[in-house]
This record gives sequence, C-alpha cells and structure tokens, in this order.
Amino acid sequence: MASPIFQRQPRLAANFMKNRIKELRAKLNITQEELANLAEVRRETIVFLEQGKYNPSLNLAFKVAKALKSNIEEIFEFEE
Amino acid sequence: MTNKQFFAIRIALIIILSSVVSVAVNNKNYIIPIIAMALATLGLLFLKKKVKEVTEDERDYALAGHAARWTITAYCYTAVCAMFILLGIKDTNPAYEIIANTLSFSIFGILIAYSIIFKFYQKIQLSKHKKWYIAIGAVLIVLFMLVSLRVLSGEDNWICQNGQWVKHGQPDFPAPTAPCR
Repeated sequence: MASPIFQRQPRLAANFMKNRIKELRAKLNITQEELANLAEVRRETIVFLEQGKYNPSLNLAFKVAKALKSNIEEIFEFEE
Repeated sequence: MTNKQFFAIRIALIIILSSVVSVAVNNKNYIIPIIAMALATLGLLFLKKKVKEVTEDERDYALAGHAARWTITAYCYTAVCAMFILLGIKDTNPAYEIIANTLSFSIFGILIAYSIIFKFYQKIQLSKHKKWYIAIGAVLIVLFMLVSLRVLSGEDNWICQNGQWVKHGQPDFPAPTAPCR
C-alpha cells in the first residue's frame, strides 16, 4: 500500500449538494448566527452551506436538520 | 470573550513572542524563548477556554487538512530541489553540504512523522485501547526527539580552541574558512 501522502486525496466537496437551509431559516425567522450556535459551527460555515459551497458531514447535517425542525431529506438534495 | 477579541490577543501575543524570541536568540539566550513559548501556549489555551463562541468547526478541520497536505508537498519538493542544487555547488562552500543534509533530514522527518501520525489516527479511531496508543505515541515522539537531538547535535564538528580549529569527533567536512577567535 502506498504511503498516504502519495495517495490521491478526495477533492474537497467536488459535487455540492443543493439545500433549502436559507428558505427554512427564513420560515423559522432565525438568523445565521443563531443557526450556527444551534448547530455548533461558525457562522461562516452556515454561509457556505446556504450558498451550496460546502457539503456538511452527516453529523452537521443532522444538527442543522434538528435546528430547522426538519428532516435531512427535506433540507438536502443529492445530485449525481 | 468573543472570537474577535481572542484573535486580536493571539496576534498581539505572536508579535510579542517573536520579538522576545528573536532578541533572546540574538543574545544567545535559549532559556527565555522556551519559557516564553511555554507561557504563551498556556496563556492561549487558558484564553481559548474563555471564548464562548465556536472558534473552529468541521469545515476548518477539512481546510486545515487540505492546507497541511499541500504545505508538506510544496515544502518537500522545494527542499529536494534546494538540496540537489546545494549538493551540486558544495565545492564552492562546504557549508552548503551541511545545509543540504539538514534539508534531507527534515524531508525524511516530515514524511515519516506524517505517515506515523496518519496510521496512528487510523488505529486510534478503531481501537478500544486509546490510552495505550497515546502512551506509545508519546514514547515514540520522545525517542524521535532524542534521536534527532543526537543526529543534529553537532557531535562531529570543528571547535575553535586557542585561535585554531580543532576536530571534535569525526567531522566529514573541512575546517571552516572563517577566522577562529
């Protein structure tokens, strides 16, 4: 097995998932800062998520879903 | 304490620390930099606990991993190129060979450390004996530091004694051309 440094690393979020975070956040009338605190991440991460420029981990996806009182499937949409 | 305040304090501390270290090293005092670095590290750890906001999250860790991998790759390629250039022109100045050797050791050290730490994290994630792995890791780090100190300690070198360069051990390079005072 080749040394890990020479192995091809997976690209950072090559295919970004679409999501409805902004829409659901507006419905619940909560700010990005509040959602960030509920999901235990920085506000910038919420900005990246809303702009569809970051794929969250499963853990974060669940936290966001819980904060938005919704299910993961309702928030995130996977496109191949 | 907010994130902004913490970052401002951290930058101020880095500026002060770098000033203290550079002045102390220029005065050939190596105790003060170690104490200053230890104090700064403890101070930052203490202050970080006071921050109530999230200072870093999974996106930062992902970016940090990506940045670290590219930094290692860039450093290794640059250091290898510099090493070959220095070895090619070592006849003009014997010191170039020492620098080239130091660079090659640093590349070797970084790649070995990366591979070991990578395997360590892989093992520790699956293992139920995390404490054992951490203890073994700590012992390995101490051993690596001791071996590095022995290799880089300059046991085989030229020493200036009574106005003359005297062999200490078996240096594999000629005596320095600089005057011995």
